[in-house]
Amino acid sequence: MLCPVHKLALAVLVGFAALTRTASPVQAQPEIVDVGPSFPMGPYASLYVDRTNPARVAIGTMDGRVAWSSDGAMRVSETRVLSHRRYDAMAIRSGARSSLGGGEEDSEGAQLDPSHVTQRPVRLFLRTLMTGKGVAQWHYWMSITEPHLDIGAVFLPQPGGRMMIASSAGILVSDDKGGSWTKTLGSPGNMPNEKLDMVGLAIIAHPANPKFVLAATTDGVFMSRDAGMNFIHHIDETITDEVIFDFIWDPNDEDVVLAVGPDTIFQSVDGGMKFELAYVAESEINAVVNSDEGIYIAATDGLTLVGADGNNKVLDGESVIGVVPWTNGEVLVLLTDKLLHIDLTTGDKRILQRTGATDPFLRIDGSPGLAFLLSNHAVFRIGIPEERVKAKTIPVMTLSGSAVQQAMLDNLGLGTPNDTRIHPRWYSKLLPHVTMDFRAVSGDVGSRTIDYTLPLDFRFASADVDSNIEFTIFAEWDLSSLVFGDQNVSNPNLFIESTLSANRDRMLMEVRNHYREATMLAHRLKNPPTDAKTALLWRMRLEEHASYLEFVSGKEVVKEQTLEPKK
Amino acid sequence: MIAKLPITLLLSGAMFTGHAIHSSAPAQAQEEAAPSPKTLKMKRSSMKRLMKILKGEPSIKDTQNWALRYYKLGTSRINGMATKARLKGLIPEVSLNFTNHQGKDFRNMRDGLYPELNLNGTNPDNLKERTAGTNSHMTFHVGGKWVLDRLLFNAEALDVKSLNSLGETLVREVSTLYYSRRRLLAGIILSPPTDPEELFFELVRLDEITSTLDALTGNRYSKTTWKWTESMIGI
Repeated sequence: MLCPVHKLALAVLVGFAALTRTASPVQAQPEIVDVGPSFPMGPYASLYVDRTNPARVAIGTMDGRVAWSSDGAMRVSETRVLSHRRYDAMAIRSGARSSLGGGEEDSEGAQLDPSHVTQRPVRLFLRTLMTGKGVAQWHYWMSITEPHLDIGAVFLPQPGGRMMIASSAGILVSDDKGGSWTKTLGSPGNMPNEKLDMVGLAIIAHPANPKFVLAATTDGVFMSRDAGMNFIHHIDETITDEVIFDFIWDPNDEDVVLAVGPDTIFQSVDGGMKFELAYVAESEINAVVNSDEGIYIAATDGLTLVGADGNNKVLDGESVIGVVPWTNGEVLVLLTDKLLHIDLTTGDKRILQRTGATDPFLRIDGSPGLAFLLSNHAVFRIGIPEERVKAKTIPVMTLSGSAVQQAMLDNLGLGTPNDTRIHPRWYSKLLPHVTMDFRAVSGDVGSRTIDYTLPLDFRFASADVDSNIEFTIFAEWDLSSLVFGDQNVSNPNLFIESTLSANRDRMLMEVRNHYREATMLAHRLKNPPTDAKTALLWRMRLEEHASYLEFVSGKEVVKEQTLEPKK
Repeated sequence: MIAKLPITLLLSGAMFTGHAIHSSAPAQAQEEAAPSPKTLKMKRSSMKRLMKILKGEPSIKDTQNWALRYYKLGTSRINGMATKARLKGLIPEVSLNFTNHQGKDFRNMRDGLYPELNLNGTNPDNLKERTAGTNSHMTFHVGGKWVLDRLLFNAEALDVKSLNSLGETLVREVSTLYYSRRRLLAGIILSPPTDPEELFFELVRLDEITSTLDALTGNRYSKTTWKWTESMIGI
């Protein structure tokens, strides 16, 4: 226990420290909080932050989950986007797959008459539907699970609107609560044909007229006038065939929208109807952000601020993947391995956050004062501080990462990566195939001979009875398998082993990801957030990781440890 | 190559004036982060309620085990199948065979020296000799074949192991749904939406996840889960 004098000294020290912190420019740096446990687990693929109200945030995962929050990730809703394996009438009507919806070309590239080429498959499709037959082709993997969608972009509308996603299967639109989803643009099935089917790249709706939607795909830019339910190719030839990765609608001028391509920026000043080329970069563009100072262009060769006084290179020679203009002439700059805080007036650079190669940063988005940072497996909130307390009990990892991986291999019997099983074990051929035969035979033979030269009933009569019992043992050795055991690769074994090997690699990766996340959370939970709900969500996420690890390894991986109070 | 264009269009007008009004959002959030004693008391009470609800619900381990049992993908079952695949080496391939053969044969012999031998009038064909024979055989055969090398290695044991992948996928799905539901439940109890319609849809989402977990566990999950009441949405 502290005596009053110590308490006083401590209070003075704390007060002094607080004053120093307030005065120090270092303290001005934004606080970063891991809010990943509020969201479903990664790997994450996309981030959307409403720049007019950055507390409204949505993320998409690589396995088809979408989560969104309206209060800075304090309360998060989530849903799963399922794209069923069936021909979708909406997608066929949109003409997405040329073989089904028209647009086929002849060998010289000229468009064939769509009424001709669409007849056969569409008629077949309608016919199968009418007769009540299943319209999907059967493949063995179809019985396993619905395929996951990689959600490349999310659009979170104003409350009450329909959410939209651009995914590997095209564009999907939700109901007004995000509960169910309809594919309105994209391949009819869910296994994209690389040569024919489009992949959704970006999606956005007009901020004032949510019925007007722009969608970027690998087949060019599409537009919709009914909130994404039907799409047509964009009517402006300038942009209709362009590959666009992002749309940025000016929150303050509903007529201005930017379309960002690989190294070009198109701009529309009439609400997305007509676009003009506005900027050509010297390298690949990763992100574009407008701000009071001008337009920030994050590219593979650095960060450029394009303002009224020309181009100003803020960061040179490094691949910048995102940028958020911060307060007081500062800017947050995201590289794949670190988040930088740059003071534009003094040129000071500070590293706010680092990450490793296994969990690279993907995106940053937001507005001055509040932003969100997405890595492969984490979501960070930048700007709202979070108080922490000291925990009385802390979770402790009981096994090392490699021990968990080994335990998983042993428990699930997946073998080690060096152990291939594409041939039978040679030593097993030391044991023979043994055949034992038991045979019992019984029989009788009789004959009677009449000699007509003699007045007798018969001349000879005989009756023979025989019975035999046979017992045989055979032992066979397959010498070729014994001598050339390692070289008798069998086709079925090859298939089995390749399946096991793929499973093993995938599961090892899963285990590594879960273990890393669990370790980080266990460390953070030494000082859990004061907010009880956030702390609870952190605990739940740790449990989620631990439950998976304990299932695959068959061992206890995390346990609670009570901290001894310091004397 | 396209020359770099002036970005005059981008610099036009009110495009760069919007953020200042929103920079106060974190400050607002911080203000909200300092709750009154009454709010704190309510939060504590909500947290207690949530903890009570969570305690009464099935654990993640139970839920995982139910799902694995329902889909017959438990690790012990799969490991047992692999062991049994090797033990097949002790069980022979058995063959049983029973044959019953019945035969008759006749031999008629004429003698060229004495063509007329019908002495007693019973030899119309003038045979020298007639032999009639019968034979019958019964064979009983039992065979067993032991493929003993399967005791040491049977490729079926590897095949069985690939079922573990399905089990792992199932557990991952069940765990994700389980904790999605828990997060949703925590949100509903600790910070419910103020709009009754929003709350209703959150509750529907909760039911949706519950029913999916039910389907994955053979209807075992929902037996002890928390059920919402109409009073929650003001009915």
